[in-house]
Amino acid sequence: MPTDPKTLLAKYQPKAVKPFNLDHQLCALRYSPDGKTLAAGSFEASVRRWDASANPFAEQSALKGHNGWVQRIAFHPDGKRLISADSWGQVTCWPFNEKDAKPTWSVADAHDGWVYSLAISKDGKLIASGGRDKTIRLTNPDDGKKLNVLNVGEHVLALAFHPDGKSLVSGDLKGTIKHWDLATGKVVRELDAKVMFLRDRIQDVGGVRSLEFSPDGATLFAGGSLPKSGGFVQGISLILSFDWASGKGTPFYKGATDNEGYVYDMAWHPGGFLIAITSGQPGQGKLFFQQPGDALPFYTVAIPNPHSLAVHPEGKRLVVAATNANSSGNGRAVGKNKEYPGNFSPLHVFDLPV
Amino acid sequence: MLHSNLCTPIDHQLSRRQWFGTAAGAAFTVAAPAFAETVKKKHKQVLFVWLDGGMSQLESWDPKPNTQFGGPFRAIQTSVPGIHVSELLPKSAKMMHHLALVRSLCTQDNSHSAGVERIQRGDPKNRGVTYPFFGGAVSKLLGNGDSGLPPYIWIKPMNGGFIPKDGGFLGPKFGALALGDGKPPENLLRPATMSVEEDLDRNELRNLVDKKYADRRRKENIEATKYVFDMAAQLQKRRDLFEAPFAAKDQERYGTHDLGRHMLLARRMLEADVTFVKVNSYGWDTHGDNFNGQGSLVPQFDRPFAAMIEDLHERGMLDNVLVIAMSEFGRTPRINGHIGRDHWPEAWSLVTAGTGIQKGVVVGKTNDKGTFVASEEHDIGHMFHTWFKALGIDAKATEYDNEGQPLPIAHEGFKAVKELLV
Amino acid sequence: MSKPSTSRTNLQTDTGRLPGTPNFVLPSPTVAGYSYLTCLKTRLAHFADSTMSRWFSLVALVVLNASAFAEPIQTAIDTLVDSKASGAKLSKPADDAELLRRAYLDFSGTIPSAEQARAFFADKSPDKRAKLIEQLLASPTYPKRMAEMFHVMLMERLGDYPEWSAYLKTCFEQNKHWDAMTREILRASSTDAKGASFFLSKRLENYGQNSVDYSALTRDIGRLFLGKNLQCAECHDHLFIKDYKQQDFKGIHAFVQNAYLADAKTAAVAERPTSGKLDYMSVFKKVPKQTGPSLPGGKEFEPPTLKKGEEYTIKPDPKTKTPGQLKFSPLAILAEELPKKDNSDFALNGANRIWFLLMGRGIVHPLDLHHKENAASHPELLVLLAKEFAAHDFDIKWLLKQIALSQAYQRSSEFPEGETKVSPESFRTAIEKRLSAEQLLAAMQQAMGVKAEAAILTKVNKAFANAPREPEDEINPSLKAALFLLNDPAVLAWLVPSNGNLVERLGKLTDDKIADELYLSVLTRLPASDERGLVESYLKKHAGQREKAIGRLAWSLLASAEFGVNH
Repeated sequence: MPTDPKTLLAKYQPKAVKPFNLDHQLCALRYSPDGKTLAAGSFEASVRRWDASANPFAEQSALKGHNGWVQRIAFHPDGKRLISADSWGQVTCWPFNEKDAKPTWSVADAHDGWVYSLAISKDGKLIASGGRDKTIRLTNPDDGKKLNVLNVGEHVLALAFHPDGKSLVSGDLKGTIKHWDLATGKVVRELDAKVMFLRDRIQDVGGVRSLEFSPDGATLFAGGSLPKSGGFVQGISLILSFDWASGKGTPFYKGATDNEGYVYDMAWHPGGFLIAITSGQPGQGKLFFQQPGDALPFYTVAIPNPHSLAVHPEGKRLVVAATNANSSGNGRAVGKNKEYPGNFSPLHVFDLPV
Repeated sequence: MLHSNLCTPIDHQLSRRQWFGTAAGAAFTVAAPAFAETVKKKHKQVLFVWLDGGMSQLESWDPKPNTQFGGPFRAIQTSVPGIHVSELLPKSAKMMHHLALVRSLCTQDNSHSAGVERIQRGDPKNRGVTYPFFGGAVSKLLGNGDSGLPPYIWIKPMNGGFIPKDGGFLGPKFGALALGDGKPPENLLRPATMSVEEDLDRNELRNLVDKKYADRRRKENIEATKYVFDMAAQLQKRRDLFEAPFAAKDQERYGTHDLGRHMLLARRMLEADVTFVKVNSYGWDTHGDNFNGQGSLVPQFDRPFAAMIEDLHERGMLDNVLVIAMSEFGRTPRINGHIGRDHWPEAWSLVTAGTGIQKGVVVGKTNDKGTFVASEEHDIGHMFHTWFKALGIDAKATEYDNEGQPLPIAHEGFKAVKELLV
Repeated sequence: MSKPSTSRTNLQTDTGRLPGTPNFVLPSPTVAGYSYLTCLKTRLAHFADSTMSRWFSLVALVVLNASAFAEPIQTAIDTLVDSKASGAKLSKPADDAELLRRAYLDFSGTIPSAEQARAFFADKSPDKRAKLIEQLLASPTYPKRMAEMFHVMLMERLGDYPEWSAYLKTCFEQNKHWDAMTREILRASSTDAKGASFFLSKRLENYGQNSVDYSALTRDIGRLFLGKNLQCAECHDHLFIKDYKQQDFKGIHAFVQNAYLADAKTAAVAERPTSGKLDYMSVFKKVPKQTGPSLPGGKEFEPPTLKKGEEYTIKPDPKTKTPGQLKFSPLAILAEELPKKDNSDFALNGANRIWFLLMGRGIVHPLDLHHKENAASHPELLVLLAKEFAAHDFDIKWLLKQIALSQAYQRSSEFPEGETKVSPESFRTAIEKRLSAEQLLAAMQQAMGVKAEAAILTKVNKAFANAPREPEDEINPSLKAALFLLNDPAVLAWLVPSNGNLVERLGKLTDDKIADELYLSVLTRLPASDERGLVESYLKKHAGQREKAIGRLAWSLLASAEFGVNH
């Protein structure tokens, strides 16, 4: 039942808690199903994890064994396993609650190259990973064995399982969302998000960057942008909302300027609204809460350079992994000890009233 | 032996004109040379591929996988054991035994507007004159070939036209004839209703008028006028270069995207003995979304570039053609908040091949993280010396004469990189 | 008062007279707290410094004596040009044909008809040349031509806007003076002088993801109104031109940095409030500096500190898109200050550019590089013209007329007898001038007796105009132009007899009459005897294809260098 924005804001107004900094840049952030663990994939071939029940978060030892970027992680609904995927094509399963967790299984060549997307079905029976190799691999969560390979034909940037477990959707670089029937492994229809793609000069720009179902499965949200140009990439943030029954898509959220960039990550809050982050030109970035059916978010806050967000399963806390401000600049910028500095990841923490 | 699409059957006269005012009136016709003979010609040429905006060295020639700044991509082996490149260059990797990589570039300018010109002019010491672009310089130093075409042709997206400023102080004659989207200039073709004789006739009349006019006046205008009309006539003669279709197989190998089509046309221009062919690709300035950006762009360079190397090699043309592919700088190891890389002139790479250049080597290296050059640093001045040397020109012994002012052809503070040269 | 960073030539004082003599004049104080002594010291320092003063010490004072300038400017021009030539030969005066064509192109933007040419040649009155100039200056073609010329000079092919062109035309119809025009152009008001704002509005547009190029706007103001290209003084003092300081660039930048495009469709320009000085720093000397809006060598204006909400006397209304009125408006100040009489940069640049329009080369050349080390070819002439231009309230038509009546202007472009090389800056020989796309189209139509459609102007522009921001100050034959003349269907259609066009008229004449009519119509002169002979024999040779032969003859003249330049 739609509630008016003022009420929603009063109810869910987040309070920022002091952020803490991680020395490496992160690309994925998720809470475990019990909310006690926070984990993140990093640019440096590792999965970082924290005891999220501690205050502040207490970091545990990193999970190593990946290569390149650990682009995506996903917690298995059984609360015991964490799946991670990297940019060299490896998908690994970890017993993340163990102190010195070693992989339960690991498939080095699950994909040829970059795994862009990862999802686990609600019943925990299927892992889906999407790659730069233009395929989706369906994997058995117990042993990592390949169950099926679906040919998408384009870079598979986003994946989401329908809550009923019968369907999988993939979003690709060219803006096509494919609805796969899991029983047959075939595409039953395509949803049109082609506005999220632009061919600028010889560059393919944009794509569907994130996908999220409403818990009742009635709505599919697709996050990306309306790209204006390639190169340093300008695009107006965009979320399309698709009515699952009819397949019809309409704009749900549209940013104000083309500096705002992509909708990188979205998550459903148990209170019945969508949380999303956008990030574009360095320093630009927003976190916002929007209720389905509303034209505008009821809460927006600026955060520089957010890339990923994790919502506590009870909705009482929200963490956003970002890149630090002042992250960009041409030419030589040498730090205090004459070392060339990399960027780092502030984790912005928000407490929500429950 | 490969069949060239250029050998049109009719009296294909190659009329040789002196472009630069010497031996005025000397013209002779040469029958279209048999293809095998063109292989032996000594005239050196240059293919200059310009990737405008800054290709990322970390996503191309100097990958550092699994390091702090290495990014998501893997490195792959090449046809030369020990040399690895980014997985985004699979086809060029197979051609590595023809190529030389320079990983030790360290240049001065991190801006596009100034940087592009400085690189292409060789960033010489300031002498109060505007130096020519590399194409203008090579045109002057090597002269014209047998093509009858202008010595400096530039194939680029969007607009074309004659670009005199590339000639710098050498003068507008050494500017570039830009073919917008590879198309011939507008109004190139004489209308079908006009015969060759009529065309020659009217131009003869015009020349008489001009000669009389210039009799007691400054000669520069008439010379420049004559130059452009001659160029028009020559282009008209070589209309086949624009009109003949390409083999479907070649179109497939090079790709039908802009850069693919333009590289294929560049090959044809090189086969037609054009001295300096420049091909531009724009949009490489991936400050944001660098990895999807370069991930999209680099393979689209890889494909036609590898095809070109393969074709030049098969035609024996790598013995005479100097190949260069570069940008105005590289990209920062540091990944910014837009998941991008910014400008990095401190340590970057280029690829070069062909006449006078060592095959299958890497010159220079960066440190483990790819942040700075760990070997001797090379500025663009070093490269100009090296490239001139490869073309048979000793940059230390050759000078321009700018109306009495002697000028070095390359920055006199630098010298050729021996390891790059044969 | 802050010390001016560049030395300005003081036109009032730089007459060659030493300070202390009766005619030494100081500009009146305009700034609160102005110190007579400070100014005197400053002026003397610059005066002693300037190349002008060094030059003056070398030239005979009698030349520079104020009474010598009782002679009309047109005569003074020749005195100074001739004396600088120091005995080297001058080209003979242009013959009737050369002068007639040149004057028509310069003042009417086209060539005369064959009848007009015949009439001028036949006229026996001794003052016919002066009368010609008068007549052309009074003709309705004058404002159109001048508007086109100033459009190209000021907009440099950045774009077109009908109201701007109309504004320029009106200026020249009314003979609006250059300072008034400058004032209106820089004020860019949305209520007065509609269309004048286009100069700024076009430069306040942004393209794609690029932000507004305020640097380019700053440079253009410096180049076009002050004769100074401060491009390489944006980030530091100019490395080679000592006169150009970073302060100069930043000072102008401070005038325009808060201007913005309020509405592209109406070329409306507005300003955001300016609340403080502009901070800047050289990339070499990391010393933080500040400046309010200021012109090179001029006073610095302090932006007042105003509370937010109190910057306007009339608040802007976004609904009606009215810009409101600021209490402190840098554009208003710029418009007032720049074209003042005591701004010698303005006068020197104006005089130099007007000289260039008629003479083909600035006395300072390039036109936007006035500085000490770029010596004027005729320094005292430039100072004189600037001074008189200012004294005549920047009356453009007056200055044009003076130059046009001089022998220097009316000289032939053929070398003096026995010479094969004459340096252009000596003006001993007239300089061949580039024809604008507009002049070429008008001349081609007149010559061929045709009326061209608008589409042809676009083609001609593409073929003959420069790319945006490349000043059209040099002859530059282009491949595009050659191909246009050779193969464009529109051009070739002109060579087919129809509708009373040239080739149709010629077709009706006997062979022996064709040459004269052809040459007069296209080249505005009579053919030489060998040219007549060539035409006749050519027609005889191609008697079977007479029409086509006439067409080729006509084309050969139309496509000739002689037609394509203003000689």
